[in-house]
Amino acid sequence: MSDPISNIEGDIRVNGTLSCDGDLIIDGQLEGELSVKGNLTITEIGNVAADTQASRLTVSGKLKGKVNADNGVLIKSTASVLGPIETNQIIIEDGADYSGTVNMNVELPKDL
Amino acid sequence: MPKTTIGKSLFLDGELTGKDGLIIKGKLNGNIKVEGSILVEKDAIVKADIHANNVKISGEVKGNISSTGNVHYMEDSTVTGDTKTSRILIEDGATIKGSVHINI
Repeated sequence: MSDPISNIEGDIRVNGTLSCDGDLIIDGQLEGELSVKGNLTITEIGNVAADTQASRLTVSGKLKGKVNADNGVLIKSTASVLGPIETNQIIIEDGADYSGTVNMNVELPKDL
Repeated sequence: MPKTTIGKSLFLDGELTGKDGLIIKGKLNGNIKVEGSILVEKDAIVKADIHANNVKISGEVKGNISSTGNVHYMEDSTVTGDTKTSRILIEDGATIKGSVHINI
């Protein structure tokens, strides 16, 4: 009945604010602001220049901007990511390009 | 059939451009300029000027529509705005407020 997945695919460019209550797959180009309540996937041909907020983020393509993903960030080997990341869990695969600061919301033991 | 889908749970405020087409099921405010076809599905709400090849509407559109192909307003469509096209099909039940220009 409901369709949780939206996708931006092929030669379509979005410029502006995109908010989504479900999951979103980006196969195209997006510039602006991105707020996804579900999972966000940027595929190998996806190109995003936006401050991004999502539950979980998977990047195989290009992403530039601030990232905030509470439930995890996965940067695949083909990805190129530039910008600060705030998350609870992160995986950066061998071969990925990443430049930025990672801030994990964990409390370190006091005696460390 | 266009591949890009603005799903029911998605809200876009801004500009959409490109060579391909798209299907809109959610909400969109702004501007659409594509070379492909556009399908605005039932329950979708679009407040935007639309420039596209073929335009098929079953939902609600507020804005001017200009098409290089044909325009199809289905029975449950509501369109507020001017339409410019070379071919048009308006089904019984469609609601339109605005002018229609068919260029020959």
